[in-house]
Amino acid sequence: MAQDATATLAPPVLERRRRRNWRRYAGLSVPATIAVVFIFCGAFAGLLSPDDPNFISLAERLQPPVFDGGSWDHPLGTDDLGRDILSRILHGAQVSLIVVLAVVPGAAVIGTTIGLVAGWRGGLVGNLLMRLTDIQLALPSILFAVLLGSIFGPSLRNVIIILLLWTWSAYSRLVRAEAISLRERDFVTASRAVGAGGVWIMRKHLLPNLLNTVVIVMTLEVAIVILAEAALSFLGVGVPAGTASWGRMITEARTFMVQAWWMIWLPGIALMVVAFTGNLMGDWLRDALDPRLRNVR
Amino acid sequence: MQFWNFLALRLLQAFAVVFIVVTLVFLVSRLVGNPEQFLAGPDATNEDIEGIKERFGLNDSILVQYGDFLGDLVQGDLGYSWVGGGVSTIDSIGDRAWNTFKLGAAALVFAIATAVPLGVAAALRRGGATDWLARALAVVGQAVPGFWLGLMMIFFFAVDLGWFPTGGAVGWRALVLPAISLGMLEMAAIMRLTRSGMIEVMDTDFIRTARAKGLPERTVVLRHGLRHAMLPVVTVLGLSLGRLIAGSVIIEVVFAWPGVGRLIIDSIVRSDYPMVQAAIIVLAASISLANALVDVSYRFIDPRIRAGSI
Repeated sequence: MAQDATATLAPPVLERRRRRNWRRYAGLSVPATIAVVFIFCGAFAGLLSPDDPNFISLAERLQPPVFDGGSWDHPLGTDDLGRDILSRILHGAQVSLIVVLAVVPGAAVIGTTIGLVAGWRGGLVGNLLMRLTDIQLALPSILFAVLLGSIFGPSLRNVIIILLLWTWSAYSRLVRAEAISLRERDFVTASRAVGAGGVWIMRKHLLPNLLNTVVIVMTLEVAIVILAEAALSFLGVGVPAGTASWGRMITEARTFMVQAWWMIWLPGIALMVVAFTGNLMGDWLRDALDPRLRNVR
Repeated sequence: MQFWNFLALRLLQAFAVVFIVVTLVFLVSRLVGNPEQFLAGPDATNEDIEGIKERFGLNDSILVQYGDFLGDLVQGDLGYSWVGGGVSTIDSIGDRAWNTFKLGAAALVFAIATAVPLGVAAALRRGGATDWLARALAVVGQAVPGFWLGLMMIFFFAVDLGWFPTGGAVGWRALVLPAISLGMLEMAAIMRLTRSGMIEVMDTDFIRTARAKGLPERTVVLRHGLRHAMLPVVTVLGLSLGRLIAGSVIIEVVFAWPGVGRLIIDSIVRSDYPMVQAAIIVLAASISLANALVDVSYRFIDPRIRAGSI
């Protein structure tokens, strides 16, 4: 009898649950696909590119993309120096990917450590660390970035260092706030009562509870970092002149806006799609992992 | 009394932050770079270079230079430009600061004036057309690079249609495009907050009570709902001040807007260190002061926030 009941009950319930699970992940499918494509393009830019991104051929300058009357030789057209735009976009994806891979985890580690120590210790050390965050917030990052970039010259390494300095405070503020509330929880008190030290508690009790927040912020920071790199390159203090970067392509396209719409539209769209994807994934993760954070940004 | 203590403490902290920024800026711009070479020009003799080092005090030890720098600073003297006939930096900045302020204020007004009504409308009719529009705008606004949006708007509205000038700061028309480009990101953030805040608040008991009292829906939404939903928005406004100033740098370059941001970029290109120093210090001081005042104002807006927990 009981078995009968389960037999008749189980399929619809399980079915509904399966459908609900599927629907939960459906929202992720589009951004995840774009993200995979972006990573793939960035990682294999050299293999995928039809041309050398820096090969100049003035005879072929300002050719439109294939869907606007161009030829398949240059599917996305050429720029004012006759360089192949598809190849430049792919190599630009590589620059963005490198910057994201270097900056986002690095800033997360720095910011989380600072926020964790500030939240756990409080007092003088905590206050000093938070004032450090304040300085970071008060000093317009872009100005400092431009100052450093102009002194040390444009290079990918400098862009990464500048963006690390620029973005760590996003983590430290939130992590500190969370650490302060976790600090007062019973399991921390219990751990302390049995003689656990600060480092142990931070690593074993606070950090695992904070990880959700950190991962969400990391995902949301992807777009910020990519747009910041583009902004620096646009201002001429990002990646050096020879490198194909989306920001640089937009700067170079400025004077050709009227003659060659594709020069400015294509890198702009690439930037927007990738930033949009990062934001969507961040939002999805936030809703899935921690709805309380909905008001962060 | 507790309030004044908090205010004083917060201002003191802001002062300390500015002091550290000043020191950092001084160190970065003095320890690296080779200003005397630049000032003397490419074919200067050694004597020329020595003369310039003497004149600008570049021969003194770094500590003496730092002391002089701080001494001048407290007297409101931020040094003289190294280029363009040696004008006082603070005067040049003063002229430009008003423009940057105008741009930032216009961007904020644009952001609030579009985001709040749209966010409220979206929240009241969830899933409707307005809601879709608002959410699409928010997602796009957060993903589009401001400088690219600016360039596109120049292309369409200035070059093609000729409605607005392509750059400069003459007349109110010149303000429109830069303000929208700069305010887009803030608009997206404010709208998301307004929308989610309104959705949350319209579900609460006090809204039901207000409705039960027979208040007109307008009053329920605006007086009871919106006022509550605005709290997180005010918090974000504090943070957006810094973002607006940082963003204005690049927007000023795109639109040739004569503000402090462009002054800094131009001065960096010309290695005009005193100008760069002075401008960064002025901007950093304004942001710190603004942040401090925002922190203090929370206490007025939301009595639940105690000074210690900020």
